[in-house]
Amino acid sequence: MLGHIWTVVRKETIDNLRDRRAMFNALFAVLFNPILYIFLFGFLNRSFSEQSERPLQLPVDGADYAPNLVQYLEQNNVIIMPPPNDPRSAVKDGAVDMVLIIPDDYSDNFRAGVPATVQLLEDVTNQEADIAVDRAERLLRQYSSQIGNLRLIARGVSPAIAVAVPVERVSVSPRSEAGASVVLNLLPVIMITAVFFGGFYLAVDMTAGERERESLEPLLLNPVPRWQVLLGKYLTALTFTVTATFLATALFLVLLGIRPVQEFTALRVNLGFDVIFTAVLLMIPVAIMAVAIEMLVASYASTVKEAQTYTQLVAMAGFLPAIFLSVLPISAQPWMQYIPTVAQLFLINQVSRGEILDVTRVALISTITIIVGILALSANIRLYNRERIILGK
Amino acid sequence: MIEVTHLSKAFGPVQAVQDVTFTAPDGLITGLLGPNGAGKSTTMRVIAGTLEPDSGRATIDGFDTHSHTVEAQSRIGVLPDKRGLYQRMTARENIRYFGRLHDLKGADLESRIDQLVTLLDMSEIADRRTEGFSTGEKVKVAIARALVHKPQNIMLDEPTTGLDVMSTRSMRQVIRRLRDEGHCLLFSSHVMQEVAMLCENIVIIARGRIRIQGSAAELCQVTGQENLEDAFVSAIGTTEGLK
Repeated sequence: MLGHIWTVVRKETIDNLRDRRAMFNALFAVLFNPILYIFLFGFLNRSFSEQSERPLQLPVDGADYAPNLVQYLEQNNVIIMPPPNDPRSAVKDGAVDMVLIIPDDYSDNFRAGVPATVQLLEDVTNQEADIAVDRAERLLRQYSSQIGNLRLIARGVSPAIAVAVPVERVSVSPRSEAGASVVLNLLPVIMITAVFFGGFYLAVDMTAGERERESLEPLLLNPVPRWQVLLGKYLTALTFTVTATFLATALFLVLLGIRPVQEFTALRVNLGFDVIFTAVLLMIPVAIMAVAIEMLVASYASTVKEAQTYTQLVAMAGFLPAIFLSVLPISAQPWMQYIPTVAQLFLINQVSRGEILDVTRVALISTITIIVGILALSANIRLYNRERIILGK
Repeated sequence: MIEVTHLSKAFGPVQAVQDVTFTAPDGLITGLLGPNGAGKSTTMRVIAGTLEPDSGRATIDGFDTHSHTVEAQSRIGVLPDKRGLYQRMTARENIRYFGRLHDLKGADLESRIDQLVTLLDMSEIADRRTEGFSTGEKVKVAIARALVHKPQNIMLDEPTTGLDVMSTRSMRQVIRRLRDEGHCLLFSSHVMQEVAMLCENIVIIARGRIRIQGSAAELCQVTGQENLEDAFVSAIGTTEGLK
């Protein structure tokens, strides 16, 4: 019995490995994702950090009243622009991000040592201007506290006395970078994609493909119970899928860890092979389920084209929740831990963040997922025992 | 020995085979002759265990092909209507795969493959991938695959279709040789001359029903005709679909 299953596994593996183009396509689909995501995300992150280093263009109305303030701003990478004719409507229309207004009583107040108020006109609905406005405000506060400190020192008072309660923000999550956290949200997406698309081609080729090439009928003439033939094919597709998933995961995490990539993306993520292996192990039940469902659907279809269409729908249905959940800020609801793919998504997120997994939860969801896979596989075995599998309709 | 008893099989509204009964004994070549669409392939697919009969049964050495498929299948070698080779594998690898599924392995399997390569004169193509093989080369590989486990019963669906003259001749020699070794041979054809030349036992089938069966002499006697060709025509009622 095991001998026959192994014979089928060996033949299907060799046969499919020789199909260079199909292998390339399958691996490309799976391995392209991590590279694409790293590239896109790195690009975004870079432009984000570059934006905060570029010179800040700041229109100033009444620059002549505050030469020292203007000089301070210029020293801090700010280019002083002439004010628009109507500052309020210019900001409102989005012609400029903001305008700094220095009133004519500024210098009198400044010299007298009373608060010399300046105004920063902004449009809070203009999100693109947020970073620039924050930067301008921060610089103005710095200037204000610098002058304040000088005034205290001039009066013989330590500036420290004005800081009654300093607040320090301490991050306690093991891997704290904000950017890193977002990029790790992509890990489950990459893994689920690999699980649903890694063995997709094989599942179709060994079932609908074998019938279309007319070799299924000769194969089923052999004195081997059909469930053994099917199981051999299934195990081949499953092995390919798990391998593809491991490669995609390892590629993503290893790439994120090497220096040139970290410099390009401006992200520092270092996850070891312990994380990679744990994540892949969590994903194996999903692979068991995904391959079984894909093969069932592909066996039922009457042509390869039909099989590809149906199987693609299955794969989509499998990984769309992953995409939504990693983009939308949805927190884990209790019922989600019973839904295959969705539950694994949260578990992998936990693993990549270095959190400890709840063993009973892992065991429960793995069992549920595997049971769905076994149900699909046994439905497929029943299908293989009927003559419909040979006639194709 | 292959026995078919009151076999009927329909595909939807089409009655492909109706109440077919015949026997193919050991040591004889039995020919299933009939026009295209007469029900030859359907009958053979039930015997091979790939189709389920609606009623009646087929047995191989006493094993029902539907209820004891594995036992029946291990006693027969089949060249099906669909030759279906694996194109990315060599001829030898194709034969070896089927050998392994028949529980052959190691040196026994390899020497059996070598025997078949010699018997079917395919040493030039044995280690080439089957992609691009001619029809004749494909048939040779498919026959080798069917014979790899030295089955007592051998069933060939239109084995000479698409073969050139030389290949057809050597195919006949192989069939006769297997008969001489005491195997039960059942083969289907729509070529009258071929059946007349090879078969000691002839089963004529048309529109899903058996019209007549027996040796060439018996067929002539029963139909009251001088020669076999006229006997065929009188049994089927027409020569349409025959050649």
